[in-house]
Amino acid sequence: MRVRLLRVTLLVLSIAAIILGAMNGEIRTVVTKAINVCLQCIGIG
Amino acid sequence: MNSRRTAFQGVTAILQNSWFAGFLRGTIWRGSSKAVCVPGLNCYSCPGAWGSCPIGSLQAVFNRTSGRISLYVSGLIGLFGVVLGRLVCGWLCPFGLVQELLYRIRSRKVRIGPTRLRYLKYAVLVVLVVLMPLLVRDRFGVGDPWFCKLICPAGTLEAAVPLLALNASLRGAAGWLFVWKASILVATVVASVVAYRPFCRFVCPLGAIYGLLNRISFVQLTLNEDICTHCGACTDVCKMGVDPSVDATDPECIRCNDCVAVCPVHALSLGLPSGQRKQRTTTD
Repeated sequence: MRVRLLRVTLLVLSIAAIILGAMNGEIRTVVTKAINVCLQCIGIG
Repeated sequence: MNSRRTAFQGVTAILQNSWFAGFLRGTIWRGSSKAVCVPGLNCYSCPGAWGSCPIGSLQAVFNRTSGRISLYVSGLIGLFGVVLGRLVCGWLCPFGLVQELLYRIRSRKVRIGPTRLRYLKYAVLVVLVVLMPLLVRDRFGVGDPWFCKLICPAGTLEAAVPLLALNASLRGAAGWLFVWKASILVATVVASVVAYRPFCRFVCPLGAIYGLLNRISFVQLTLNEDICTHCGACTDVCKMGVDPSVDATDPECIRCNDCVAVCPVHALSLGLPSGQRKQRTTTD
């Protein structure tokens, strides 16, 4: 029962975090990083 | 080796990296689909990638927001983890597939059982993914994605190799950091030929997060204790060093299904727990 409750709570928190993060404009930061070549990832940044 | 799983991994790896024009032009996809993180470790600078890497994105938001953790990215990772646990590693991660294919190369194999080295990935998560992007910043207050910069061999393989091969200006800028990252990639490749998924077991910070969620995820490996004979077949077949008859929710289990397939009495199953059988997966 405890694990089931934890599971559902974490699911709800995750969905809430996605929505809040999107409302905070984090998606723009993610997209900005992802649509430009990540110089650090390829070892020249 | 479960060939059906390998085929599934192959299809998902191709789907995640199917902007083939990028491989021809030496550029990356710049569309809005990159707002969404994929569940596994897949570099967003891979020329074919449609989506974003969750670990890279987590650090990117850290770096741009003066140390605030990304609710959006951590929510996505939490969602993948709480639903699937490390099933992501076993079925959806392209870099996991790469390591498994390398392990198929005929060579002398080293079987690594449970070892304290598995805790290294938690240190990598805390130090390189959280603390260093949070604390180490340049004079403009901008941090680096330290895990991507210093370690990630997936980025080197999926992004650096094709981009540097196809793009002369990038190739000209490669220096000591590229040599360092290429060395880590070579070490990972060699280790993957002789040992099963060494990067996933000891280094991957995403695997560390999903491993912690293995115990509570909706998808579970479950053991029916009433019929288990403790013959040891599941332990023998597990290349991740897990004993499912003792702990089917072990954080190292990637839900590859090999133990389910080999169990002579069908005591193990993978899926949503029915709640009817006596299980060792959960305490509920």
